[in-house]
Amino acid sequence: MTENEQHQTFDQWIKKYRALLFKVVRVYAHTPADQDDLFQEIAIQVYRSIPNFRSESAESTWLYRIALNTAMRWSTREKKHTHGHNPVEDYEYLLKASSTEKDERLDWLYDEISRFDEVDRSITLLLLDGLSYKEMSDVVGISESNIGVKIYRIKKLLTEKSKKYDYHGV
Amino acid sequence: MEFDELQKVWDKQNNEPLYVINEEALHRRIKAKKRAAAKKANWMEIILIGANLLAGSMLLWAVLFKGKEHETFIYVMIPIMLLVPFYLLYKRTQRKKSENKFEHTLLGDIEHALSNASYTVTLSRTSQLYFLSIAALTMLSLIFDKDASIASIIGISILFLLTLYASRWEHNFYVRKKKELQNLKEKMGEETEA
Repeated sequence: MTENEQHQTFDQWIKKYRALLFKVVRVYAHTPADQDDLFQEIAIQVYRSIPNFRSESAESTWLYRIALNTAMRWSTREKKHTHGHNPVEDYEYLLKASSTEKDERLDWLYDEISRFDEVDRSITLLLLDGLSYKEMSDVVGISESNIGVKIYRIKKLLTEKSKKYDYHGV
Repeated sequence: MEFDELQKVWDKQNNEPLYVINEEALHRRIKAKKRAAAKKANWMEIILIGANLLAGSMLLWAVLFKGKEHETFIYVMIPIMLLVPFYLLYKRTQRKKSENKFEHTLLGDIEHALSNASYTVTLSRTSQLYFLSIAALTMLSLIFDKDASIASIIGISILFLLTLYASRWEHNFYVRKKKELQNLKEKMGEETEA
């Protein structure tokens, strides 16, 4: 694969799967500077992974694996910076929040997912994005039955928490 | 809210991306990172191979052309220093070969990273032990050398101690990295209670 082909594939993937990448970024990074940092890390790993992509899996499954793996490791590393990185003036940010209307329930959902441990966060993202147990098992690398148990627990927890969220009327 | 409702809230964002990407900046950063990664790649192995070849060759040259006395310890060091690069090259080849054996899953990626981390930890531990043996042989060689001054022996000892301290710090850094990956793998493989 030539460098030019690699660049082209990268541009196509970033355009086509940006929503997928943004979701991963938002679940694992919380300040704008951290989101930018994580997005950069993911983009670099996606770029590097292109020559290894063999079409044995769907592009989206491949990108989930790269993005989640990068995010989990980034998250473990960045735990030392509990307050996140500080915004830097004159820094050229990669991501700019879009001006679409915000849904507070979505903010709440992201907030709750980000409280899970790194692995449960990944599984929740895959679950909400509609992947089958088989696909989730292929991405994460644990058995379908184990995925099923984790999903049962995640669904129960989110539903219970959403009831308290409704109760307070936030 | 029931889970179905949460799903609807989640799905709403699919048509409205959360961010806009600065594509030019992204390309610039990827190119910069690629250059930096290429420079950093395999530095530990290359430095060790280069340093051993250089030091071994210099000692060999000193023995052959300078006719140094009391070279018993040097005779032990020269073959070690010249053979270690070949051992490192062998380990490096093994590491490269093992790179494709991991599954293309999150767990497989973490196992791959863990395998690399274990390799780095073993390499840094071996380097420490190797360094200690070379330091000991060098010190013995200096002590039995009538021409070596006390100042040079003290100076070289301090240099060895500082290097040892730095290598211990480096080793602990790699051990911490490995531990982080092990924790992540444990979380991944954790069997949940039904």
